[in-house]
Amino acid sequence: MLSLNNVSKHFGKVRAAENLSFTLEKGEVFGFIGPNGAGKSTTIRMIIGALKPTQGEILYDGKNIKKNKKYIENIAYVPGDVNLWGNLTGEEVINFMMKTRGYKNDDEKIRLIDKFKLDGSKKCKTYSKGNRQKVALICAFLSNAELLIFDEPTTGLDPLMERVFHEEVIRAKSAGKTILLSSHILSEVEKLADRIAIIRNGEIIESGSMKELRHITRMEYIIETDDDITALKHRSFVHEFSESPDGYHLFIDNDKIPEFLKYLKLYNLKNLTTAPPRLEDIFMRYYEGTK
Amino acid sequence: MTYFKLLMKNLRLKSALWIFALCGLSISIPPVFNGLYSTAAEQEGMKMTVDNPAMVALIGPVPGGEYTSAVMFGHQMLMFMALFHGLFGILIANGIARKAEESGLTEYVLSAGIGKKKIVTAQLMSGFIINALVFIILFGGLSIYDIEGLSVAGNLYYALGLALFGLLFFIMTLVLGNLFDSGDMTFGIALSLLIVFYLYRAVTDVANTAYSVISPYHWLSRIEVYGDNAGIWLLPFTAILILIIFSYVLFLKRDIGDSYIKIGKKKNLRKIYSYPKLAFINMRVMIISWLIGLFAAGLSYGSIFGDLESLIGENDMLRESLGSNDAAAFFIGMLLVISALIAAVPALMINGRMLNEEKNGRLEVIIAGTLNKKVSRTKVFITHYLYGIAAGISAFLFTILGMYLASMNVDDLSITIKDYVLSAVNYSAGIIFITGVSALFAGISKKLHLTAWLYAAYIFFANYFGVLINIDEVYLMLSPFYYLSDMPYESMDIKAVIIIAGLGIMLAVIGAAVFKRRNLL
Repeated sequence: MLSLNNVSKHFGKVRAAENLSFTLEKGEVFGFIGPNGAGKSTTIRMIIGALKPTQGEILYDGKNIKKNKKYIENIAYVPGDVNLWGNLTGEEVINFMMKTRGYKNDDEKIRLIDKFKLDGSKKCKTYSKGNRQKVALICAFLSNAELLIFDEPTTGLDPLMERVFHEEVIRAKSAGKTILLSSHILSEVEKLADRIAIIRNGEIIESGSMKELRHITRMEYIIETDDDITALKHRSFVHEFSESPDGYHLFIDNDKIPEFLKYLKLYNLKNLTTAPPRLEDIFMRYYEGTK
Repeated sequence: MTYFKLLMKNLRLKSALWIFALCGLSISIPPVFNGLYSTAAEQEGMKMTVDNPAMVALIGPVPGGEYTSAVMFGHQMLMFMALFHGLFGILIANGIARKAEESGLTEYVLSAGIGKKKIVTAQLMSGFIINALVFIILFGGLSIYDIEGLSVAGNLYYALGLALFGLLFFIMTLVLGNLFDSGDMTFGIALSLLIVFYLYRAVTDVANTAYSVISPYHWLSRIEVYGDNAGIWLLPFTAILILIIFSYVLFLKRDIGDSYIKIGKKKNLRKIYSYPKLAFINMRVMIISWLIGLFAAGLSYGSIFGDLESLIGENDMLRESLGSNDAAAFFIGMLLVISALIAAVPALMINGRMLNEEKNGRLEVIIAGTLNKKVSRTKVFITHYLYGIAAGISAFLFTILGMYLASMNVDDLSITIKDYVLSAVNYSAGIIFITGVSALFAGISKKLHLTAWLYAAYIFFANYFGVLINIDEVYLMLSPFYYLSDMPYESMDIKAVIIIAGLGIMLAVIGAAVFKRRNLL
């Protein structure tokens, strides 16, 4: 439903985004991962039309957004740093958004305010960052927009509220909405996203489904044994070999796992634990590459 | 360190700035008045000017006896200064009492083992110290002058009156902080009292001063500083003692965070369903303050229209530049240009607010997902532009209204209502033009909008000094007022009005077109 074709954004000499291409399919959760300053917000702000791309085109439902101004009516956006009008109460802001978005769903509003535990009768200037974020999140989940865009949505939320947010994302997805979730918190995206794109220095360095990305990573094994397995250390597919009280820790290239298991048969193992690849690991490897 | 010391340390910069500004304002005035109105005839003329209902409402009843420059100073300054000293007291008191409580600071202090009584004592003492400083600086500062009539007793009452007035509102705010449950509410009620007392005495001073005695402002009026010096009118300020008792009792008898009056938490939700309404709610305080402020400015301009001839007669530079023109009409024309420029300031501020929405990232949030016909960049732009024009022109009209009201009973003024109305139309075109420049620049970028301020400042100085030192006309050509006829002493050039206003609107249209397409900050 949304696709970016070779989109670039330059601010003078700064290349905030360079030749970005990716596509969001209807009904999926798309994770947009990258460290701060990588160009996530710039990209999002081009999608919502706040910034005009220097090059390339952004298509919404196959039509260039430059020629289809109404596309924006189908998008709800929550920025990373939510600012609200200090003199309005939280509920007044929510009502304003509902009215200007042209819909009415009071039951849902009450449900969300209740679920996010927001005191909507207070003026926005008394709200903490987390509370301001809740207001914006409620507005977005309430809206009947097809595409929800969240830019680092959980930075001000406590762990309980983070979970509420995750639940609501899943709920929105099952209601058929498409979600673009930008974050530098990898576990969050890992949990929610069907597909991800990793962005660094304005360029997408990897994209695909979680499954596709896993094969380029390594599996961590934790081995408890009385035998001395240090000989394994010198195999080419073993990385970051270390010893700790709970056993040996080692990372194995995914495509060499059968070979590795063959070697393991030589030892008497007490316990064997594996940890699935995490996005952090994928990420770290890319950083190793630039060092 | 005691809590009191901590409070004072926290307050010292803020209160020092206030005291410096307030006392500086008072102390800088006597020599000005003494220079302007040095002869008995001039002073009598001034007395006539202030002896009309509009001026009485503004600055209080005219004191009996000779209207020397010292009496003039006391009479014309006390009401305004009291308003500011009261505001100062309210802000400081609310900051250390209810606001501190609201933010949890008071609870924290209590947990550190400082008793409730000590907290009130420390708050009260801060008020005493701050206003004692006000008294000392005012009294000392005024005593430096060797101006006839600026007597020791007068200085004493002037300084003591204002200090007590400040203290009264300081402690009143402490008391109110016990009654209401939020800093905003306390501030709102205290400020309303400050203003209501002022407005009340404005009405009763005109009707019958006997009713004015309820208002603390009137106590200051009745002292008649530098004239009667009726110190007895300081006595009502003993009401402070009662308030002190209240501030202790009310605070000691309640829980922290609690209040005696509870405004229903379920406040009515306001129906803010469109951008224009949202923008208005966010800017109304600013807009209304400008209207009130410029109305007051208009009143004070108007109040000198009676002495225009003598004022201008003394100033050789002005006299010369006037040539054979009708001095009063010329001077009023100049004042109107300057007033129109000042009235354009709120318009520029309103356009600036749009850029503020942009910078805070709120603009892109409300544009995403909302129906284009409800909120779009163009709609936001037009909203601010039209509000700017409306506020600018209304502010200008209020200034003119003030001028008219205050100069109504100046006999030999040749300016009629019709002149005022036509001048208003004439110079409003200038406001539309300047607002257009501001809208164009705001449409292009936030940085460029700063240039609009520079432009307004440039026109101000060009017009101001243009008259005084006859600068070359080239410098005036950037100003829209250069092309508009100099009403009221020239007749209106309708063509110029239409062209200038039309150009202004065109600039805004270009601004809107650019704004629609550009990157947001």
